[in-house]
Amino acid sequence: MRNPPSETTRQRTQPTNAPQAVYFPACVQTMFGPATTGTCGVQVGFEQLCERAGITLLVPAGIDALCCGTPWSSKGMADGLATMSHKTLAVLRAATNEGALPVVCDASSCTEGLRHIIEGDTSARPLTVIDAVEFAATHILPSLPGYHKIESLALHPTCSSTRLGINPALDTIADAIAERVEIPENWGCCAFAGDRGMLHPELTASATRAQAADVVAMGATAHASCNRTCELGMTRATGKPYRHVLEILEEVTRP
Amino acid sequence: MSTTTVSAQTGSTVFGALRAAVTDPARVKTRAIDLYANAHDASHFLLIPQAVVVATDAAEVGALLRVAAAQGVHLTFRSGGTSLSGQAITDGVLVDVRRNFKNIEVLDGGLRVRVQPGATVRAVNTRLAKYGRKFGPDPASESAATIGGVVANNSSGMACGTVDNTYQTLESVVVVLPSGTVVDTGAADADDQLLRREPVLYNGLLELARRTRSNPASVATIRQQFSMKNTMGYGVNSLLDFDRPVDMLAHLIVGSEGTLGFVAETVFRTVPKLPHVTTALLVFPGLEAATAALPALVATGAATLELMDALSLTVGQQMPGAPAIVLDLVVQEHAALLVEYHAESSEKLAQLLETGMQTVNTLDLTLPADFTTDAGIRGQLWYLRKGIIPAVGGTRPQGTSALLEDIVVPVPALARTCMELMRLFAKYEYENSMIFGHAKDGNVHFMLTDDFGSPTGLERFSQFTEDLVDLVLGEGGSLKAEHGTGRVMAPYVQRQYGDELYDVMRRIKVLFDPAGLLNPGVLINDDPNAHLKDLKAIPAVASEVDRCTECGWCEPVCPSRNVTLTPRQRIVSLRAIEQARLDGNLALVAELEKDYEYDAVQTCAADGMCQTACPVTINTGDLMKRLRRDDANPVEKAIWNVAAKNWGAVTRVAGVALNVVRTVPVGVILAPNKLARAVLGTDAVPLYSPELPGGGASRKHRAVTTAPKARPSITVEESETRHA
Repeated sequence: MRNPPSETTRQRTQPTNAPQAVYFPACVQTMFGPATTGTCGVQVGFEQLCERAGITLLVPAGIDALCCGTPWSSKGMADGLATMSHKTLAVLRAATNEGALPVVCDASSCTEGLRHIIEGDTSARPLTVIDAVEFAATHILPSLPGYHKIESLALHPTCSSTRLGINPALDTIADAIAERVEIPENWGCCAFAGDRGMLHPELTASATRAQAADVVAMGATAHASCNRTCELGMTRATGKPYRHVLEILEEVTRP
Repeated sequence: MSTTTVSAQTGSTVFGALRAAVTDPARVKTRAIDLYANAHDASHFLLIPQAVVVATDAAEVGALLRVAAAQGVHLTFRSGGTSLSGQAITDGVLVDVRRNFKNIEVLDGGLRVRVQPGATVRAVNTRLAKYGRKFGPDPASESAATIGGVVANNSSGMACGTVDNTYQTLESVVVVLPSGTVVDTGAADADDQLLRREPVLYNGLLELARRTRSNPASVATIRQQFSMKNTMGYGVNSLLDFDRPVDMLAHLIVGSEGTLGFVAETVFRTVPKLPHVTTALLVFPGLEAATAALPALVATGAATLELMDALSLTVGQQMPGAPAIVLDLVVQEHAALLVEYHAESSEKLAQLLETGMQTVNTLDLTLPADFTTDAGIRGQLWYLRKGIIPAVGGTRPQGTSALLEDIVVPVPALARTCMELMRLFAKYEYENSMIFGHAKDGNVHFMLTDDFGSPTGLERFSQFTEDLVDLVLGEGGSLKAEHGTGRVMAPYVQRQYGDELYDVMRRIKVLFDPAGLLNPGVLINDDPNAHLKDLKAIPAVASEVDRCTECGWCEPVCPSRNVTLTPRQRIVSLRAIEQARLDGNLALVAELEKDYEYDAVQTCAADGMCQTACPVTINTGDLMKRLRRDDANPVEKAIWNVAAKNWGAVTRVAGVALNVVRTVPVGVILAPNKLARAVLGTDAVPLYSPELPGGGASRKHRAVTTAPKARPSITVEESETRHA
């Protein structure tokens, strides 16, 4: 999961502009912009954090035409999934110098989607895909300067962060943001599921009803998750602006 | 077909009456998919209800009971549906008391808790955690098992034994009796109220208590039977343990399997959650060595002593995330005990462990005992133990179903009982029957897998059961320690308790439910072959889900559980469609398929949460996605392939569209948007919603940030020409 402690990796810790990871911003950012006018979105937030930590990222050329494949997988569109997987895998193999660099993705569902794509990668050095939350907990958090935490944060782990096993990293980031972090007692997957929450709003409404009541009762200072469409689902359910946890971390730790 | 017509008319009268009894008639469900999806519990029995009613409160249940009495239909209450003995199924009216009975109220700083029947044990424990307390009963199915079933079955579990089980930790209940009377046994004047409102029941209970207490043989049998975990028949120990009829009533309700009344609310005392825990898997060369070590280990104060035989360990090795100690073992005749010590402080834990190790060091172990406090390893060990029941069922051959037995004998008799069980498995050629369970209490489980529907399978099971009953009762044991009598052991209650106590139990049923409205056939059953009837058929439907044992553990994590179906319901409905097809019932096939598309396929979020709870790692979402693929309109499929080739343009167009949307009133968008959904289908055209944000920026362009830039950006973008 983490950077292998090889010669090449160690050399990259030198203050050079050589990239340490290939950054794969999720396309949901393009379709659904930041929660509130005037906020920057997870991509800018994550890039700022990396900049402060002295980490250089590489965004592959042609990123706007790439996707983790989840929309096709969810809809059962096998041909489209194969087309997109092939395209994305080829670009990532080249950008990572054939697997020498890890791929970092900033939306948990897309991280999971990319993991599925690379399952089909049979090359000698398979690609490594890390979620930005996990990357930040390991590589960014330790080098951030002193700052003031906000009072409280309502946290929404996602189905993908649960399945990826990155909820401990999500907790770590959340604890770094706020004095008090609360996950609603009736927490569960929001069922926004890409566009399923738009196709069948009654599904998301039902899935979020109990936890939304918990969240509203909390009255937290800020609300965070780790996947743009889930942030939309929870925003719809609670009326509170949900943002990516790294976007909030960037704000809180801004010098 | 005159019978069909008559039954349809009768049905519509009953349905009308049921609909009139609830505040929203839509909560009385009679579509085929409602009946078949909700029919299944975790047992090997299956009955299809005539209607499914989602009840909201105790008053509504009272109204439903009055309808049942007037219309001559019977009611079965269902919550988590994780029970294994056939007590949560019916061909009458199934009342869902999970969805709307979820309240949990912590009392006295966590010392007590008031709970409704639809809350899971895990939800109660989550709420109690911050008070350093927990719920007494600790069934392995705690993530999905609900309080309604815990009370109905006198649930216990791995650690609680007979000390902190439901019977012992229950303080009071609010129960709706079949007469419609609501009794709160916790009220100060509860006993007087019971006398005033239910004099026949009140005096009947007093009379039964006198009768039982004055019969030395009955007293001796009850004391011996209830010194063990025991869920056979009614909890007639209540007649000895309590003097006020209202307390007898409260404790007879425990373990009554929905046959005496509806438990709307329960107050329990909680137990301390001892935070310091150390765990080890002790591996023995064989089952005999493991069971022989039990009395000495019980004496060391071990909180749990979970037995797993060689076959359990082999199955455990196939489970994802199996602990290293099991993975590294070349399993031959081995058996293991999962041993745990609990304490309130680390010093106390060290003392317990030191005492324990003095005994452990004298044991004949295959591997050195390795106690650990590491939460990760402990989690793996418990995942192994808790996953055995469903995982064993998941490895069964196609076309067979799994049946779980649950016997208890006095601990000193456990070793020879296990040996004799293995002889019976060999005699009847049951090949995959592993023995595992709560050895501390002399309580073990084993699974039989067979095609119980076939004549040979049924005959074999019938003869095996006779031998099992002789074995267990011969050792002074009980045929059901903690899973409830259900249908599977109802024919043997009389043999276990004798004629006198069986008659007392029959009298209890008549006192509470003279018309037999509640859950008939369960716990008391005059048919000596009840355990051989209404067995579930499990046809193959899809490789992704065929290993499903219908345990129901997936249900609490599924986001569509309250709007359409759960993963288990998606699977069992598919099985119902296939079974109807095999039976040549094409009308039923069509009726089920009509609603399957929306209820199962379209409203599955495909989030894979079910897989995180499934002991055999089924991702029902994978199957739903495949069904979408098989269903996909060829035109739609082609469009999505074009989209894959031109994704940059699509995401930008989607983004621009959302920006345009933000500048015009919502109504202007919604009207044509809803029209498009009506024409093209709600599963193809998303519904716009005003909280959707505007579109985002292209991923390749550096967005203007609101943050001050200390240094030039060191994020580099790869040259566009590199891949050109």
